[in-house]
Formats: sequence, C-alpha cells, structure tokens
Amino acid sequence: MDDKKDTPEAEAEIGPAGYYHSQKDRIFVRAIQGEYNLQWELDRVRAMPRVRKAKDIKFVDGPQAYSRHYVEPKDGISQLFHLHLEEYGPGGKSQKHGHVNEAAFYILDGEDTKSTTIFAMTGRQGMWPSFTTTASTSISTPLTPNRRVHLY
Amino acid sequence: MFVFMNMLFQKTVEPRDTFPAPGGENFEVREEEEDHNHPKEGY
Repeated sequence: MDDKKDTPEAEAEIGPAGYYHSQKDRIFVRAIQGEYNLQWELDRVRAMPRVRKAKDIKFVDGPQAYSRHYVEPKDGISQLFHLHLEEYGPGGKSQKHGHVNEAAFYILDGEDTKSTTIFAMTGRQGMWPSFTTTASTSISTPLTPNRRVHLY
Repeated sequence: MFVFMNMLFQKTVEPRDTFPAPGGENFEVREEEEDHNHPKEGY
C-alpha cells in the first residue's frame, strides 16, 4: 500500500486535526453481516427513530464552513446515504473535494445570491461516459451567511 | 462494484481553512432557526 499515508505531510493533505473530513475511520459504506437472512436487519432499521431533530445535532468544524450531519452510514440507518447541512459565514468556503458518486445540493437560505458561487466540475466522464456526476464543490458567500443541504 | 469504483476517486484537494475569511471574523453558526426562512414581519 501507499506508505506516505502515515506521514505528517499526508495528514496535512487530508485536513486539519479534529475536523470531520480529517477522520480516518469514517464509514462510507455500512456493512451488514450475520446469518443468511436480512429479517433481523429489517426489524432493527424499522425500530430506529424516524425523526432526527436539528436541536440534538450540533454543527462541527468552522470557522468558515460549519456542518451538521443529520444522518450518515455510521448512524446505523442508511447504508450509503449521507445528509448534512452546511452553513457558511461571510466569504466562507468548504474544503475542495472530489467524488464521482451522485450528490444533490439544495440552497436553503442566504442573501445576495448573485455573489454566491458554487464551483463544480464533472467527474471522469472520459473513463465512464455514462456518468454525469458532480465531483467537486466549494461555495463562497461574500456578504451573508448561507445554508445548503448536501446529500450524497 | 459501482459503489467501490466510485470511491476510488474520492479525494480532498484543499482542506478547510482553520481561520475566518475576511469579513467573517465574528460569524457565529446558527444552531437554532431564527425565522425558518420567512421574514418575521411577513410578506
């Protein structure tokens, strides 16, 4: 494997310590294992709370972009689905990142939208011509706070 | 296969900044909703 993953330089590439995206043990795909029957998993998921209240989930990171992760695979509800709310301060931007899985963005709030910029570039369409997915995003709001929801 | 092939291309290119943006020094995140995106005085 790649030995440079454990170097300080590689860690700096991931992000600042303590930030959500710096975690090395994130669960992107939740495993299901056990007997050859999914009834127990179906029963478990159906018994999970159906409502997740914002007041119970605090924002993390900052100081330019804050994230509230409503649901993600580690919560034991979804397998892949990840929903989070982002709030950007004036002039703030998130980490620039890339992925070729599908993502949807909903702008919920903000003013002076003419100066709000969302940068996005498409995935490796040359490799998989049938994919037209968003691969990288960042957002800038020079004047006022802004919120968006990001599903992927 | 679809999922794991996609994940091969996930990458953080630039991490989040740890300092406020110019003009955003005193920004505090809104933990609570203030107006539910509707003006208090109505429309």
